[in-house]
Formats: sequence, structure tokens, C-alpha cells
Amino acid sequence: MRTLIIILSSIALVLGLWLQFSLSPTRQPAPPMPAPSIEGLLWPQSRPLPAFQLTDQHGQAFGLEQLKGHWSLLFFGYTHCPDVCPMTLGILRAVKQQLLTQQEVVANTQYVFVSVDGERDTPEVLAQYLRYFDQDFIGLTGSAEALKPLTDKLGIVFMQVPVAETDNTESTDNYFIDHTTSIVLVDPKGRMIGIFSSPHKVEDFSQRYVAMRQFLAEHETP
Amino acid sequence: MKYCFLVCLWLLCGLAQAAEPLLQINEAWGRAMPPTLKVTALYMQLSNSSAEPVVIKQANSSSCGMLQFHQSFEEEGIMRMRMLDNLTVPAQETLSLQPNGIHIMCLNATMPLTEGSVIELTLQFVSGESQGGSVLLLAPSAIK
Ligand SMILES: [Cu+2]
Repeated sequence: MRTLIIILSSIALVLGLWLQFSLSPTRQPAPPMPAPSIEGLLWPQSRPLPAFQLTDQHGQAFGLEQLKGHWSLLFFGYTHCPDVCPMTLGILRAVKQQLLTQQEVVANTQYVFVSVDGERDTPEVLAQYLRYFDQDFIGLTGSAEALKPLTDKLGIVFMQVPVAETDNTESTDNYFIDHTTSIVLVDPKGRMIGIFSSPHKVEDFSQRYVAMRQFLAEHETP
Repeated sequence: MKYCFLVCLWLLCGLAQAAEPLLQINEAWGRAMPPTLKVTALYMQLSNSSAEPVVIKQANSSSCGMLQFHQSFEEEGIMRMRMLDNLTVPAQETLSLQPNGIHIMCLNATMPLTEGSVIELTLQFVSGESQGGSVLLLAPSAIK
């Protein structure tokens, strides 16, 4: 008798749950204007970038036109930077590898390393440097004046700091450069649409970038 | 006479080895750099199990023309790097030298900073003692 009650009540429970699920609407209607909760996403705001003229690591001109039509992750640094920049490049290399499994979501991404050290970072130096990180990374260089329109708009600052002499020995690397380490997302219309503040972590970066792309794919007309 | 000298040298070496090192050096690594670059950062965990703080006043290496103690830190979104006069490992604590933080900077490198090569360095303490350590260079893109 007790077994029967248990069986019957189990059936009732399953039936009840099934009814509840089958009666509830299969899809929640999307609210008309959901506020994005993805950290670093600027949408619905965006910042259109001005025209600029830099040179890539192959000696080719690179400007706003080369950003348009792609999703670009822009990061700033310099090759004589021994601590922070290789770390950031290494993280983005790992991000790129991690995102290989989500190609359809993050399609058409270009990784762009912008040197803030036009004096030392010639296209040849950049080309050799980037080979140690990822063949597909784009490297850009130019004079401080050529950088200004881009960096001003993106809120990127950089300044030379002389290397201290120790024991009267002069360093062959006589200056380092303090700089902003945020990574900027530029959309195919050439607008800054997201920003990743440091410290950067592979997992967190990948997740946020995927979330941004998914959100923008749903809410932006191409 | 010559033998005596060698025996004495051997004994001295033995004594030096027997002396307890002031610090435990763990996870020492540095960043290999492309051939054009003569500068790199070295990282390690420095543990002090003694009851007294250990102060490192200088580091030396035949592989680096100059070694400096640096600290990278973020200030209003800008990554900055400044020189430190010395490194202090507090008693019973571990000082972590890691990317985007405290590191030993190798400047004017006298050898190619290739992946897999080793930088031998000596840490000089304010107490007058010193201690050696080996730093393996990992790939330029290493993240740890
Ligand atoms: Cu440094």
C-alpha cells in the first residue's frame, strides 16, 4: 500500500512538473533595450576613431581603413619593454588559441600591437619581435605625432622614463616607456566599442570578448 | 705546495657549500627575448625561513652588464616601472618576483637571451654574505 502511494505521488509530481514546463512560454521575450552587463563594453556608446597613418611590420601603410571591416583588439607597448609587454602579448596569444574553438562567434578578429616607441621600433624590429609571439599579430609603428590622433581618441598615454645609471654604467637601453595597458576593441565600423583594463587574465579576457561579440551580434546591425 | 693549494681550495669549496643559504630560491625563470634585444626581466620566489629580514643590496651576473631591481605598478591605468634600491625579504616570508610586479632587470646582456639558456646570478646581501642562483629563460610568450 505504501509503495503504491509513493509510486502514485511520484507520477503526480512528474506530471505536475511536465505541465508546468509545457504551459510556461518556451521563450522569454527579450526586453527591448537590455543594459549590457559585460564589463568593459561601451555599447550603446561608441567612439568613432579619426583617420591616422601608421606603418605595419611589413612596411605597408596602415590606417583607419585597415581597421574597418574587422574586429580589432588594439594594445599598446614597445619591444624594449621586458616585463609588462611580453606578458600582455603572451596573454593575447593564449586568448587567440583559446578562441580557436569559438571561431564562429569571434570570426574576423585582428590582434594589433601598436608601438609607442617609433624611435626604436622600426617595421623590421617589430616583424622580428612579433614572430616570437604570433605570426598573425599585426604590428604598427610611427612617430609620436602620427600616433597622437589614435592614442588621444582612445585615451592611451605614454611617456619616456630614463633608465637609472648604476655604478656609472650606462645602459644601452637608455629609456623605458610608461604606458596605458588597456586593450581596446574596435568594431568593423572603426569605432571603439569596448575596453579591457589590466590586469589581463586569459580566461576572463576570452569570456568577456566572446560575450561582447555575442551581444553585439544580436544588437547591432551590420 | 701545489697540492696543498688544491686541497685547501677543495676544503673551502666544501665549507661554502655547507653553509646554509640565506634564502630559498624557487621557480626562477626569465624571459627569452628576440636577438635584437639586450634587456630582460628575471623572476623568482625568494623565501626567508630565518627570524631576521634578509636584504639584498645587489645582484651580479656575467651575463648582464647591469642588473637592477625594478617594480612595475599601475597608477591611474598607466603601467609604470621604477628602480628599487634593494629587495627585502621579511622574516618567515616569501617575496614573489613576478610579471607586472617586482623583478630583477638584466640590462646590457652579454649573451643572446635565447630560450633555454641560463643566467647565473649572485645575490649580494647587506650582511656581506652572498648566494648564487640559476635562472632559466623561457619562451618570450611565457605566461606564469
Ligand atoms: Cu624592469
